[in-house]
Amino acid sequence: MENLKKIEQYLRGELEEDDLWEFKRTLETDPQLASDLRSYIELKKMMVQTKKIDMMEKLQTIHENEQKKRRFLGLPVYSAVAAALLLLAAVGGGILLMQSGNQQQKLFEQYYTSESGSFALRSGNSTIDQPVMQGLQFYESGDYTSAVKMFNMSSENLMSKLYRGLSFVELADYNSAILDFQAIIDHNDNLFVDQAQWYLALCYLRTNQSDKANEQLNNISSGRSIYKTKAQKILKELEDK
Amino acid sequence: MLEYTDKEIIQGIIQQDENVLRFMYTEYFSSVKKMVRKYGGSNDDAWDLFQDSMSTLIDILEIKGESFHVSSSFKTFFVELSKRIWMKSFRNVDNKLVFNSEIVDEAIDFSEEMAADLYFENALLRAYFRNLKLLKPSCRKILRLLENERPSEVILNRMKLSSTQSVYNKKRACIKKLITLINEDPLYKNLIKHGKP
Repeated sequence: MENLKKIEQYLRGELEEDDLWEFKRTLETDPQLASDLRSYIELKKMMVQTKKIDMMEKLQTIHENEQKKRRFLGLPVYSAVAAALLLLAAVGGGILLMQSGNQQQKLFEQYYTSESGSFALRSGNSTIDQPVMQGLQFYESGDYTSAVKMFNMSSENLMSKLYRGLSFVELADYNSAILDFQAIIDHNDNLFVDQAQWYLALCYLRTNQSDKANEQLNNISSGRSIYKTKAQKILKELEDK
Repeated sequence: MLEYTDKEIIQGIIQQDENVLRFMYTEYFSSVKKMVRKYGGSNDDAWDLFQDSMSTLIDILEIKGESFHVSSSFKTFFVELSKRIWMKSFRNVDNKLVFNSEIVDEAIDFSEEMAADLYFENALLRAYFRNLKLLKPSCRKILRLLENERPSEVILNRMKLSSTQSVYNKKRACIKKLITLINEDPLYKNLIKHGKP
């Protein structure tokens, strides 16, 4: 793929007459260049299909989670017994791992506090969609299942995404919460990124995904987030153990 | 698991609602898998087909809008659509296999050529997506930012790069790697070799 620069210049119409002539001539005689040009054009076409790519990512996560569940639940009895024996044999290392998992879950319990929806409720009655308003009311009253249903009706709304994510946390559906928080971060240009990053890090802690939790906490610590100090404290506690 | 009406499913797909996607996966994928296995395919084939069918559904809904409706149940429609794509694909060339395409034909009303275009583009997109996943996280991140047409300054900050030139270099290196991977992908090669179904 040595031709990328030329291909980009060609497609942007930046090649001078001589270079353009040379490029087109080479295109006829060099199958590699022709193939690279085609792949590049296809790639560009694919890259703008963000909606489908987002959907594929969501489906992939759902599929992988289901596969994991199935692998675990589908273990035959003898395999389960063997697994249990292996677990016992590896009890020393296992305890260490469990301690690490427990520690992360404890950190989650220590640092997670329910976000109030009342500020959002009071702040913008005229601009917030009706389903989001109703969702916030359900959220405030602690009826998280109904809140999720309402937020689903306005799922592109970022405030709706944030509070749906928080509702999922309250319902202990951390994987769904992760998807919502990640979507807010990916969107980037909004007021909820700080909160999304913080709760995403906590969800990773709660689900024992230490690498991802560390990455998020480091992102928060190195920025100007209001959760910076808390993130630094958690990182220190993780390091000290 | 929440139940959804056909209309809620259609809206959920348009809005990319994860709960609706999870519902479709849970309720529909097993039927697609059963159908594919019946025609000699594997579980992996079924998963590929499920993704292609979902992408095609997005295309259909984009063209038809929220007013799109099916006369059968949505699940029947989806499984028939999957079957149609399966039969059109080069994974299965047994001419003796027949299926009832009326359910799909009636609902989408696309010409054969248009349908073939959609199936082909969606298979290409899957090849792109699966190779995208093979890239390093930093490359995936920069390409996702590019997909969303973020300006270089935003990418520079998000990726903690030092200059717009380094954004450009990084972007180019990632695209180069991705094209190399795609060119070596058997699915992509197969699609390019055979063209549209």
